[in-house]
Amino acid sequence: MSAITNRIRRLRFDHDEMTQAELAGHIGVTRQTVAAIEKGKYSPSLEAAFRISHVFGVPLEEIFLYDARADGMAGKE
Amino acid sequence: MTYQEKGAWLMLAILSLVYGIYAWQIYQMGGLDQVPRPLAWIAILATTIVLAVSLTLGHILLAIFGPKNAMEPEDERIKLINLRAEKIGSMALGACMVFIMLVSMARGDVLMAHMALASLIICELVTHICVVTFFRIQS
Repeated sequence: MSAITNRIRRLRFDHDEMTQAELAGHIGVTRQTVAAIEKGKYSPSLEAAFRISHVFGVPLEEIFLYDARADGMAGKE
Repeated sequence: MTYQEKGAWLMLAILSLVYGIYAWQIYQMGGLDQVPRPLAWIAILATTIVLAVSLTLGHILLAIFGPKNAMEPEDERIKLINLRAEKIGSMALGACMVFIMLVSMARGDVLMAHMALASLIICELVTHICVVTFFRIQS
């Protein structure tokens, strides 16, 4: 299980059912990369994450959710 | 499927086919040591030319039949995939160079063994110069 999950699919739906290709065009990646991010198979760079945040007009933490336990980093501070 | 992935499938198909035919021809002629030198040069040159031409034509055809895909720039995920693949590819190349060095030493071909070792050292030097430079740039 990935430590980072996201709500991009939901946000696309809420934004007039924006397609993956449209989002990809806005953030400068391929449609396949948007699909990989949605599935949690690829974590985007900070720049791409901020671009997604800008497109949907919501803060990063409302798009990407981090689970420290799934990352195996819990209690390692 | 991205243009880069299609390109990688194309590379796999063409390399396997063209090199397969080359290897089969060499085998038919009795093996690496049995092929007369002029014929071996012709086979190597012809294979290289056929590879270059077919790969170029293949990529042109890919672009013609999928112009939208071909126009897409490489994004961060594609670059990361390429970086990982190239790292594994360079490890394979290094292993092949070590193999060439060992075979050359076993056959008493000192010049080839020296060249193989020098190639390995030059590659490592370039890699570590890049590492140091990139660390300096980002610090």
